[in-house]
Amino acid sequence: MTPLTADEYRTLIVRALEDAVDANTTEPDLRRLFTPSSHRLALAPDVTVVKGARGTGKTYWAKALTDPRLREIAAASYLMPRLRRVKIATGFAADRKADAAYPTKRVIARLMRDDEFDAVDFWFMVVLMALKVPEIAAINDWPGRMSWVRENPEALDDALQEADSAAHSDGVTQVLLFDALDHLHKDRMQADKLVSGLLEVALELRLTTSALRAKVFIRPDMYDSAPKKFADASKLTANTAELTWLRENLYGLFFHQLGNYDGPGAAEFRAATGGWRDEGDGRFIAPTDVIADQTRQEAVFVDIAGPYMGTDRRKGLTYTWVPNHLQDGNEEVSPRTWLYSLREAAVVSAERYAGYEYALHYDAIRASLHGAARIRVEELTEDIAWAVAAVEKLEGGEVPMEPSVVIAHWNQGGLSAALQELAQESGQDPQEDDGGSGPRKPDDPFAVLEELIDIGVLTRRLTTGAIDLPDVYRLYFNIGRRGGVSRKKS
Amino acid sequence: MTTPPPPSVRFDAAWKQALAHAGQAAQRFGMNVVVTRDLLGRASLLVDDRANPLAADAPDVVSARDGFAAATHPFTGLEPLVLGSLLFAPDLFFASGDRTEVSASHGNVGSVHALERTVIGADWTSAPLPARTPFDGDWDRRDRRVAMYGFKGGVGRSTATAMLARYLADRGRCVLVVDLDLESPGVSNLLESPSGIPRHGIVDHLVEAAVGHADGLELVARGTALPVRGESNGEVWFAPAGGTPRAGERSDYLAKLNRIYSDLAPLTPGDGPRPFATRLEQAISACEDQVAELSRRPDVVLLDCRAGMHDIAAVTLTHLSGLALLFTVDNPSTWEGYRMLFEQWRQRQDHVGDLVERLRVVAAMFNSAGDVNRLLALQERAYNLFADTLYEPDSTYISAPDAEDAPHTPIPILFGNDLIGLDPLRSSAWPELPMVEAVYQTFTTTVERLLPPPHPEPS
Repeated sequence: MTPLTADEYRTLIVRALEDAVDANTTEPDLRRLFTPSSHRLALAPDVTVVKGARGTGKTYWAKALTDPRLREIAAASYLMPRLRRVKIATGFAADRKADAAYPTKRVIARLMRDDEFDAVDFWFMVVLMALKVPEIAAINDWPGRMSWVRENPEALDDALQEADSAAHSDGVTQVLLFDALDHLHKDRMQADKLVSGLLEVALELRLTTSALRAKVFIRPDMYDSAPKKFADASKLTANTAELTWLRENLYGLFFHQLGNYDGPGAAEFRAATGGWRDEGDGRFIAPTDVIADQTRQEAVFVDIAGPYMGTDRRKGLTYTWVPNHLQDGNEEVSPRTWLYSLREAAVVSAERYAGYEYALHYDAIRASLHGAARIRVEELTEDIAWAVAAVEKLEGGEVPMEPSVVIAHWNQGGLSAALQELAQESGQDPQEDDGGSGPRKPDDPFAVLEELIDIGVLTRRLTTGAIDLPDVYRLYFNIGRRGGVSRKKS
Repeated sequence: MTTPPPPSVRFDAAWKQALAHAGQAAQRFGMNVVVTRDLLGRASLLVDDRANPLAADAPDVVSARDGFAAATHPFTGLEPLVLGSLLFAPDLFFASGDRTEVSASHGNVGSVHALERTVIGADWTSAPLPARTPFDGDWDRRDRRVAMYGFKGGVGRSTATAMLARYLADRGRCVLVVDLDLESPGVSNLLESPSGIPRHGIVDHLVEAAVGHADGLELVARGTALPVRGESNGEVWFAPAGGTPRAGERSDYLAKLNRIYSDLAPLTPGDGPRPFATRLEQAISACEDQVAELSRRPDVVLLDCRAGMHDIAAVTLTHLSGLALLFTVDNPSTWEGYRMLFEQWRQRQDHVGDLVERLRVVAAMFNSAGDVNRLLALQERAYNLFADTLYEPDSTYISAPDAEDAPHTPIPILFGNDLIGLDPLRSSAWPELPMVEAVYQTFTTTVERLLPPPHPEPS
């Protein structure tokens, strides 16, 4: 029983997901902020390291935490009242404001050319700036601030203790957010050095203060590759949270968007799916089973897309098919790719299959994968541009591909040169996307291959060791798949 | 006043009669006789009168012919009695190396030999699809049939069939299990005791229907070993490969078996030919109809097929079932076997795209202990097999080796050492064990999703 027609559903999906599929310009917003249970720990003030692959929502949460109203929503949704007693400052982010507590990428690169540069000093400087410690704020330039930190260790400790006591007596936790660490430095070695220093400082705050906390949003591969040669580093690893999107989280996100759209169809959708809780301000929370129970979710999705990816039950189930075909090599689906795919399927259905009994036609869903692949590659280009460059060189090939063949493609396509070019500091606007750091060992193709497998762009077949490419990337690049038997059509 | 129909005998009794009449003829004429039995099991009596020719219309020849014909009906040859003196090549019969001696000659009594004419080994995979028999509702019969097939035996296929039957019955379905393991018919694990086996089986239907005599066979019985739980109205029925004759009845299972694997000429001129696939389909339909008559239309029919590269399996998988579960264990000979089978299908089938969607791999006796990668390795081998043989380049299965719901994706049946030696017949409560439930849970629920919905309530 659904009060929405296929066409009304299409309209609702197209409109409700309109903003969701825009690139990073999407600011979290009050109504649409979705709080999957698996992300709860990521917001806890005491959790220092939040690991999340490209596109899993690191920046999203960093932004949400800085907005008091959104933080309030998270506090309520996650039953985490402590979030109401935090003060947030930003220690690093992609969209740097003019009065930021941290320098531009170009300044960082210049500071690092100094022989005396120390990453731990650098981050303590940023912490003091973020805490608005007067002694350092009074200095006008970054090299000068660096020198002050280097030369005044006692004053540094005193300043931190003072900030700690102040926060403590106010009854708040001062949380410093660090995001977009892919953009610290073009050179991965240098970026690793900076990340390593940041982790050391973050741990130090947690072990020596009671109310000062760093929260570091980081890609798992960057976390793994940063050297952790400081005391008690294991305490950091024991205290990490991961941003994952399980299948039920993806569907929960989708349904949450539909139920919180500010326009026609949303109220009907809520009525059709049970008792949504009205949170005020036009924000509604779906019943728990719509967010968390796969059986219930499938029933809701079947109303939208029908049960099967074809005319009968043997063609595969829509509920599992869509997430499965969007996942990368680490079996992760980025929420933006996901919402894009659903919206595109609604658009194509309206154009080509308007008479279909369900809102999403299975062939439209199939067709939407191509656009979703483009979105995914765009995401990747922003932070891990070198990975895109490497896969581009396989164009015209066919997977599964022997590792030696992959490397031959790279040698012939001049991957080293391409990676070097990416590693050049662009002389353009420092706010411009720089494509993130390069690979750990750009000159070692075997290491590059391993790293691509690490970040889920390539996969290795278990039995043969051949290299494969998940569809969400393969469909964008012109790379075929071996297999399948051509038959004469009788 | 109508003449009553001539009395008729079943396959086994007809042969018994034929041999008895042959003995009488050997005595009456003092000549050697041979009884032949053709592909349909129809008997003819050949008298070797070459040394002393008989007249075809002599009274004792006519009475022998009529007596033989009446006693063997409907399994009577087109020429019930043949005189050797009139044959073009009598030695083809009287000196054939294929004869088996029934009784030797002694004194004035001639010898009696039997000569079987059967054909085995024809290739059924190229047979045309049997005519579909849709009935009301959206799903036709074929769609409700699930082939349970294992290339190698001993992987727990029959046990899985019983567990699946029970699960589906618990969920309210009417389930019929058909034993198509014709080469080694066993007592079904669905029955409390062998005495529950019906009088006839699939092979009886095959031989009787060949001569238009299939009405009135007793083909199905209720499965008694697995009482259905709950208030679900589910039931389990069972159709054996061969029946259990009543006390004193004879049943020559092998003789019937030797006659079933053939494509038959039309029974009456003008009808279409009767390929084996069609005949098997009719036998299964007859079982289904009988369940419908005794209770209600089956919602699901599980076809338990024998292992190996066998005609029955080929026909069942390609023609008769809407879903085919291929039991695999991860070893080279299994993959090689399936590869041969699939290659064969690929060469012969125009509709391989339709066929491939009906297939699902089952990881039988899957021992996952300690290694999560095992299932992935098995999945990958299955994927390679399908990609090399049945998948077409443009199918979405090709693009997703790791898909959750592709034909090659193995459905695991777990295996633990605790299960070794559990005998379903000795302990009727064994499916109740929570551990056993867990072993089959993924399997039963996954298969359930692939089935058409149960028949609607009869209004």
